[in-house]
Amino acid sequence: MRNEIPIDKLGIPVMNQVFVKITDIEDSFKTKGGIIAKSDFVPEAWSNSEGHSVTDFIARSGVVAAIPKIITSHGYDYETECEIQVGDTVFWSIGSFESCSVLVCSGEKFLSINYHKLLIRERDGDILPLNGNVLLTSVSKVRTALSYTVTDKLSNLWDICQMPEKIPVSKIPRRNGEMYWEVGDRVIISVNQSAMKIEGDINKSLDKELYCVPWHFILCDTEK
Amino acid sequence: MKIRALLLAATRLESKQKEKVTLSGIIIPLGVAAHSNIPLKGRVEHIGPGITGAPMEVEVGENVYYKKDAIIVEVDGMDLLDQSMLIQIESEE
Repeated sequence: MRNEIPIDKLGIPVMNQVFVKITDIEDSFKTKGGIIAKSDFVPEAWSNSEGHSVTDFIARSGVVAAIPKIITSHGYDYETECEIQVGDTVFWSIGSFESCSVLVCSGEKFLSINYHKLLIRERDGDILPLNGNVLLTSVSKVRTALSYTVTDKLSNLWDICQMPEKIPVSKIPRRNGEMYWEVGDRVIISVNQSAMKIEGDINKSLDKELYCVPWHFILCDTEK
Repeated sequence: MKIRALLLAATRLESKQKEKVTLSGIIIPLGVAAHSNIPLKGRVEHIGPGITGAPMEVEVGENVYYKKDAIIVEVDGMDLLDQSMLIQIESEE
């Protein structure tokens, strides 16, 4: 990967950085016939968002190898706590690579990623959203015109799959408040926002397609 | 030595940028601009007070790793850099 930094021994990260061991940089996948193909054969395999060009093959998950001494709110508008520990599998969005460094230690690659950019953690098979994010599954919408039926995979409706354990305290007072919604509720998120997809279309490890948004993006619930 | 909030001053302990040894044993001297990704190791001598929401996470006496381009200026034989440019703190294990 680009800009690799060789180090002798893994130490303690600072400034909210978390060292995550990358086992799969996801630059290829195996077809059903056993052919190993490069990821760029699958259209927008790792972008999954409009206007994003696939110029690099980016991992979206890894195992936590080191955590900082403290988690601070530096640069972010909310106070939160560290909800991960060494050994957890964490996931982050594809847009989280702006300020990441790749450390190479004893032939293994570690990504230094900001704790605030982590979306969910997986521990002993249990998934928990981090940093006040809410896990959602998409609700498809069927549109009919004349004799044609089109099914939109994504719509403005989402089903809540998992709630965070801890809600960060925002420095913007209007974003704080009670959590009215529960797992299973069908909700509408803020009009100008879109949910972040947890995994790409290939090399998936989770059993369902998950999305997440910060909890204050949820506008209201609606009937199913 | 008084330093601004999130800065620290470190005495360089070792610099692996001086040279590189190939598999066959050839020693290649590295230029200043070469291999800028190889981290430097330094011992923290002075630290700033930190700011609200971003305290100093390093303490005087700890060994830290940083890249050459993280150095703001050299003062009294020490490298002055921002805490955010650190790669890691050396652990005692």
